[in-house]
Amino acid sequence: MDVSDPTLHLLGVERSSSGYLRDLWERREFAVVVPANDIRAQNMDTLLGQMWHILNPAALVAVYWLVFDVLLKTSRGIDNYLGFLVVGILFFQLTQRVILDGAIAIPRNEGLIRSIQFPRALLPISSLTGQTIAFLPALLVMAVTLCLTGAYPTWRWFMVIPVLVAQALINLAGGLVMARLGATVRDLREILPHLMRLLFYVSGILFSVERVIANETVVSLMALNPIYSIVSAARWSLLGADAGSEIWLSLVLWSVITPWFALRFFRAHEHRYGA
Amino acid sequence: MSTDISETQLALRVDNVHVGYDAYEDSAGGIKGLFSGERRRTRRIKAVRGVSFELERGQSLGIIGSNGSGKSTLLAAMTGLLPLESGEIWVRSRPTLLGVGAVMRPSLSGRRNIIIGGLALGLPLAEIKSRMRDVIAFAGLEESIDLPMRSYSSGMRARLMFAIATATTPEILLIDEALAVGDSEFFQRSQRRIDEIRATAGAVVIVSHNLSELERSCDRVIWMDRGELIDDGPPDEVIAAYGAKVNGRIADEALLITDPTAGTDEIDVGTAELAEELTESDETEGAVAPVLIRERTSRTATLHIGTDFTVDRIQHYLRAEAEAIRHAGFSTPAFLRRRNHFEFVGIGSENAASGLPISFGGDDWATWRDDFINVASRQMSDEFDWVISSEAFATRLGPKSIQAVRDFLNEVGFDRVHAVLYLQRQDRLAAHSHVQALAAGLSDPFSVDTHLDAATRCDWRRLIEWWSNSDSIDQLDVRLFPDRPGMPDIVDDFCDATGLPQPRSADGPVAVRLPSSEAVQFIEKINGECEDGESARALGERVVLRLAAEPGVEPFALTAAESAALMGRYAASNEWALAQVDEAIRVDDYFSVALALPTERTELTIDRILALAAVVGSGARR
Repeated sequence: MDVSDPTLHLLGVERSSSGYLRDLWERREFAVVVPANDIRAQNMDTLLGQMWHILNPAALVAVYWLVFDVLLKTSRGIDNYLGFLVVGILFFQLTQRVILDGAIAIPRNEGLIRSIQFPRALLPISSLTGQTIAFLPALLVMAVTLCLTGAYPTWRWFMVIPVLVAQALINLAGGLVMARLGATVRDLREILPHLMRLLFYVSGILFSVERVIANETVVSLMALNPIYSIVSAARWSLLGADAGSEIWLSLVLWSVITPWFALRFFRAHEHRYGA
Repeated sequence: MSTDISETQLALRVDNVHVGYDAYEDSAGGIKGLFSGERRRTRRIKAVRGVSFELERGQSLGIIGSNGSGKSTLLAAMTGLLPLESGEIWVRSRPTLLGVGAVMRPSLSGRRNIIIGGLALGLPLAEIKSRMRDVIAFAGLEESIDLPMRSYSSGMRARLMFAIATATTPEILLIDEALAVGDSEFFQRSQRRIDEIRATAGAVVIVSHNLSELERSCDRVIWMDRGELIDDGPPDEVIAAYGAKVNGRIADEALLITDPTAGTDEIDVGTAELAEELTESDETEGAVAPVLIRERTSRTATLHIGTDFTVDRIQHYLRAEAEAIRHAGFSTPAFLRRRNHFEFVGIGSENAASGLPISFGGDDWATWRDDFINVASRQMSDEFDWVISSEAFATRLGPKSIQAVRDFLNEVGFDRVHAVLYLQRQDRLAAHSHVQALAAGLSDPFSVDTHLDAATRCDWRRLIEWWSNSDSIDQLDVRLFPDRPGMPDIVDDFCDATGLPQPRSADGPVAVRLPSSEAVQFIEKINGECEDGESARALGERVVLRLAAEPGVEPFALTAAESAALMGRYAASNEWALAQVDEAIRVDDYFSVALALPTERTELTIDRILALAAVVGSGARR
C-alpha cells in the first residue's frame, strides 16, 4: 500500500502550538457569535427579556444601597462606600463567572465535542467572551452608579480598558485551568463555589485592605492575589483610589505569563475531553 | 505505483485501525476507595478491531452492522474525534460529520441556529450569511425559519441539520443515521444533494440500519460485527449476506408472540407471521432474507412501557449487566439484543459512563422529546424495538403525555405504537398490585414503584383487561421469553389465566419448557466447565459453530440452543456482577438462577453439549 500519496494527509497528528493557535483564530467568530446568542437566549422567555442584562446589576446595586446606605448607614471609613462596593463586586463577579463557567465548559458541551473536531480551548474561550459580553451592561450600570454617588468621570476612566484586558487574560488562564480540572475532576464543581467565596473575602471586596491590615509589607503582598490587583486597579481608575506600583506589576505579570501555562495545561488533555 | 490513477483518486484510507475507549467501572468509589488507595477502575472497551478499507473520490460507502458493532465509533474515528489505538487514517481533507445537532440551541430561531451550526463546522460567518438563503430553501423552512427551533418537528430539524452540513460541498461527508427521520420528499432531496457531492468528486460514508436506503444510495457497503470488518463489496451482496446472518435472530424473537387484545387463540400477526415467511425462506433460498429484514424494519415502534420497572432497579440492573457483559468480553448492545428484552434503555447520563449505547430521558416532556430526537436522528435504529424508560416517562407522565408520545412517534414516521409489557420479571407481583390499585382508582398508570411490596400472584386477566381497555394503547404485545430461567411457570400462569393457548413458534407448537430447562442445563454444564467469562465465551462459540455444522439441527433449534449456550457464557459473569448490585434490590431470578448452579467442575465435552442440543432441536421440531 502506497502510504506516501501526497494528496492524503494523516488524521490525528497533534497540532503544533502555532497550528493550534491558528485553528483557534480561524474559529474566532464562533467564540463571539455563539456565546452572544446564548446570552440572548437566556432571558428570551422572560417578560422583560433582554432588559434583564441591565436590570440584574441594577438590582444588585439597589440592594447594596438599601443595606449599606439606608439601613446600616455604614461607610467603613471609605468615601463613597457604595461605589467602592459596586466596583469590587462587579469586577469580582466577572472573574467568578468565567471560572465557574469554565469548569463546566467541557462537560456541558460533550455532545459538541463528540461530533465536531475543533480546538477544545474554544469552549473555555467562549465562556470568557460570553461572560465578558454580558459584563458590558454591568459596566454601564456601574458608571451610572458612580455618577449618582458623586464619582464623576475623569480621564482615568479610560484606564479601565487596559485593566479589563488584563483581567480578560487572567480570566482566560483561570478559565482554561478550570476547564481541564472541571473535565477531569468532576468533584470540583462541588468545592468551587466555596473556593470562590473564600477568594471573595480575601480580595478586599467588602473592605479596604489598608484599614484592616496595618503592616504595609503584608498589604503589598496582597498584590500577589490577581483578583485583588484587578479590583484595586479598577477602583484606582473609576474611583480615584490609591493603587501602588506592585498592583500594576502584578497585573502585567499575571496577565502575560499565566495564559501560556494555562493553555499548555489545557492542551495536555486535549484528546481526552469528551471521551 | 505512484502513477496509478486510482491511487491518486483516493479520498480516504483506513489502515488497520483499532479504536478503544475506557469506561468507568461502577464500583464502590467514594471514601472507601480513597482510603484504600484504590483508584476507580476503568475497563478498556475495544470498539474497532483492525479495520482497513479505502474510499475513492466520488464513491458512496454504506456501513452496516448490528448495534455495538463499532460502526459509529469508526465514523467518529474518521472525523479525528477519537484517538486511534493503532493504525492510520489518511484523508484528503478533514471529513464533515453530519452532527451539528449537538450545538443547536432550541430556544433560538432556525436562522440563528444556521449561523451557530455553520460556525461550529468551521465555516466563516460571511460565507454562512451568503449561503443563508440556499440553506433555508434546501431545508424547506422558508415559513418557519424565524421561529424557535423547539417548535420544529424532528423532520424539520433533520432537514436543517443536513442543509447546514452540506451548505458548502464537503470533500468527505459522514452521515450517521441522520436521514432516517426525514420524510420521503426530503429523502429524495438529500439523495440528490449526496449525488451532487459525489459528482464533484466528494466521498460519502453513511452508517445506517435502513438497508433499503443504503442499497439505493451506496455503490459499496461494508459490514461490521464486533468491531471487525466482515464483508466489503457491492451493496446487494453484502446486504444479502448480512441478512442471512440476522435471520436466526429474528426467528429467536418471533418465538412466542400472542395478541391478548384479540382475545382469541390466534397467534399475532407481525413478527410471528414474519417468522413463518422466514422459515419458508430458509427452505428455499437465503437471498430472500434482505426483503424480510426490510419488513422487519417497517416503521412500527414498539413502546416498551415497563410497568414493572422502577428507574433505580433498571439502573442497577443495567449497570450490573453491562459489567457482566464486559466481564464476559462482549460489547453491550449485542448482548442486549440477544437478550431480547432490553434493546435500548436510556436513563440519564449514567449510560455514557457505563458504556451503554444511548442516553436519553429528561425530567420533562420537552427535554425527553429533544433527547429522543437527538437519539433518533443519530443512532436510533428501526431494526430494533425500543425501551423507553425514564423516571419522567415511567412515573410522571399521564395519559395525555402518552398520547403526546404517540403523536410524536407517528410524526417521526412510525405508524403503530404498541405497548409491551414484560412478564418475565419477578416484579410482576408489583405490577399486579398496581393494576388492582388502578382498577380501584387509587393509582395512576405509571407509578408502579409504590406497589413493590405487595406479594400476591399476578392476575393476568385483569392486567390485560386493563391494558386493552386503556385508550392510550393501540395494541398490547405480550412477549414471553422461553430461554429465560423460570419462564415456563410464568407462561403456564399466563395461559391459564387468559385462556390463550400455549404460545407456539412459527413452525409449529413448541414446548416452551424445553428450551428453558435445557438452557439451565447448559448453564450448569458450561459454568462447571469454565471459570471465567472468557473461557465460557470460547466454549460457547465452539458449541455454536459445531451446532451450525450439524446436519440434524434445524436453524430454529440452533438459535434456541445457541441462546442457551450464550446464557452459559454470561452466567459465569453473573456472580461477579451480582456483587455489584445492591442487596436491597437483588431480586431478579436471572441472577439467582445463575447463583444457584453448582460450582464444582464437571465433565463436559463438546459431544455432550451436542447431544443436549439435539434434544433441544428435536423438541423444537416436534
